Amino acid sequence: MSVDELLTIDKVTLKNFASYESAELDCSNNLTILYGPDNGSGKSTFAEALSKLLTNNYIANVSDNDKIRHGSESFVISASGNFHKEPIEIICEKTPSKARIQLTHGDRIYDGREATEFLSNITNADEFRRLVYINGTDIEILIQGTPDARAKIFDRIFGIQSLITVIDNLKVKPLTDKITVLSIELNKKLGEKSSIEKILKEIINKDEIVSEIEQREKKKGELLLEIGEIQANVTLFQKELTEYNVNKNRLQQVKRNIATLENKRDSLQLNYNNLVSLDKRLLVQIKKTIKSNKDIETYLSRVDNMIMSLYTTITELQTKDVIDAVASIRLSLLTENTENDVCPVCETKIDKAKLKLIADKNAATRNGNFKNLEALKKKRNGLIAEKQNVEECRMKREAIQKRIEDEKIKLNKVDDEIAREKTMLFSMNEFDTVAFNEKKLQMRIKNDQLQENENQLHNLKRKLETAENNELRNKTLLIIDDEIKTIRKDIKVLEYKVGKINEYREGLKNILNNVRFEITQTLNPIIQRWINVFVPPSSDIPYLSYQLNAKEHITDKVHRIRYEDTACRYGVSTSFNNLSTGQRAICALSLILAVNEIGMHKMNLMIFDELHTSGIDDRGLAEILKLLIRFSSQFRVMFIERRKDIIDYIQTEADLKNVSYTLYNITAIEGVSYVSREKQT
Amino acid sequence: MINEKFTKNEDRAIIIQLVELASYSPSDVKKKVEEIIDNMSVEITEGDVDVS
Repeated sequence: MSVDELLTIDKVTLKNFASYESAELDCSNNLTILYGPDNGSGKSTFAEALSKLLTNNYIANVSDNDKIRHGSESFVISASGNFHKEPIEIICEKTPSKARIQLTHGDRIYDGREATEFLSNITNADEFRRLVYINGTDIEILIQGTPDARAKIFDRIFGIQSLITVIDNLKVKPLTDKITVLSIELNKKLGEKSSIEKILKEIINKDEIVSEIEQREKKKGELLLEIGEIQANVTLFQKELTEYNVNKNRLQQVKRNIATLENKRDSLQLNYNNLVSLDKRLLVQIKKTIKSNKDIETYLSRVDNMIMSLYTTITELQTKDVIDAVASIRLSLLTENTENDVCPVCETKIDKAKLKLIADKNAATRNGNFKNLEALKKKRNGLIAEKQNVEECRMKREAIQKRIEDEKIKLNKVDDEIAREKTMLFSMNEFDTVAFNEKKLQMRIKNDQLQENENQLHNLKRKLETAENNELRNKTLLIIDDEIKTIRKDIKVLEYKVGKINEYREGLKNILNNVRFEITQTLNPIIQRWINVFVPPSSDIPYLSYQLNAKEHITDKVHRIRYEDTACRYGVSTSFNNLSTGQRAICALSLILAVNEIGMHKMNLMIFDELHTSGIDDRGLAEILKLLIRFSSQFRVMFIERRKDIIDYIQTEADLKNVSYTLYNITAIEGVSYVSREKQT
Repeated sequence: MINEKFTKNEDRAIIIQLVELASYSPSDVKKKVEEIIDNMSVEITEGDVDVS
């Protein structure tokens, strides 16, 4: 098959793609060389654009939005050649999430999903890939990497990595997570159902509950009343306690005042009692005196009369005495003057002896009277004194009574004061802590009783509500049954799907491994042929047989290709790892070419991006480049390089082998990439 | 190449569908796989949805 028979791209045009504002690349020659000494100049951007066209994916893991040039809203990639017969154009518009793709193919326009599907359909599983992109790192891995890493490269080159992506997407975890959530929900629903059924099993007598509720309500009323009363008392106590605390000092003062007043009163009372007692005694005395007072008066009157009588008598006697005296004087006069006993006045004869006797008798009577008089006077004085004594007693009593009155007034006053203080004391009564605590305890007990009653009431009401809601519960039960059915159905479906997904994954893995096996079976002879081309039998380089075998035993974990290099020209068995770097490079390249060959009728282009970074020495690299140029007559090759000496070498070799090529110089100035065509032969 | 285990036509059809997905872009593969899983037909019997 010649290059002309390939499905090829002759021209690629970019607009606002990555660092290019606009660029055009003619790749109609078998060999295209992109040279740019600087990193980021835009060499690999063409590889990315071709990858988007041929595989609908980028080589690097980026999105369409990332490829729209800074400051632009969309990019355009267009291509022409015999690829799909007609020119193709992709327009990507920037959106906040995923870029919107529009694809034009000939006259037809595909939008969004249709465009993506069109691009996806360009390559499909049985055709492998249309573009082989190999960079230095890939070669390095092929030569020096681990078997796993090598397998990944081949998976990518063969296009079966996408099958692995399908397998990876057959995940059961989201479904098993859903099953877990649904199982929890199911258990919850079963629990709800069980609890409702339990409630429904209990037979509830509504009338009994209503009656019990009434009783409880009544009791509640009573308790509230009692609590109200106790509360009032407690409030009073609290008020008293507050006042007590405030007036504590004042209370002590009042108490002291009362004590002082009571002492004073006791003293006054004693005085008063003494005075009353004295008054009583005086009264008794006075009464006794008054009783005999009349006798005294009578007696005194009589004494007075007697005294008067005596005075009269005495006066009479004195008068008589005067007369007698006169008579005596006369007599004496007579006697002296005459010897006659006749009265010179009355001339009456005078008996002198008789006169003398009478005179003596009178004198004696008079003396006696005087004595009597004196006695009577004494007696009278005694009586008067006694009378005066009574008066004094009366006066004294009056004074005492006055004092008694005074004392009584004082006493009353003190009593009033005491009463006043006691009233105050009463109002400031001592706080009764015991009673207060008792009330509080009562309050607590009653409150507990009330709470208990409330609890019972609450339970009864709930029970009543339960009775009333049972009908509703029956309906709920039916709903829950439906929900359980739905959940069980969903779980069943998910479990079925999980089982199927696991089966499909296993099936796909088998297919994958079968594909690998087929590939290796096909590849082995071709690889050997290519190695023979690189290393002619006459050469000193050992003859290498490179085998690529799929593992026969398929397990979940095994999805890699195992390489076995078994022989050399001299029949000495050696492993791939024992080969030199150059030998390995030849093996790797042979493999790539073999891959290309088996998919030759499908592939458009092989891109070798900076092969010098592969770790191959310059001699080995020169050999590889020489071979690639030699075989570019069978497939289109694109070299991307930054080393000028390598570019020069490629040009020289191409000219030597009469291979037409196009060289592009790619430069970046202030972040903008430019492409310039250097030479075309 | 399809495993002989998948004797049912529908299973074979799904496997073929899945293999075809390999040509899609990774994000589309994910969506398509989800669609296939969502559209799987499952037979449910009365015993499967017992409410007891």
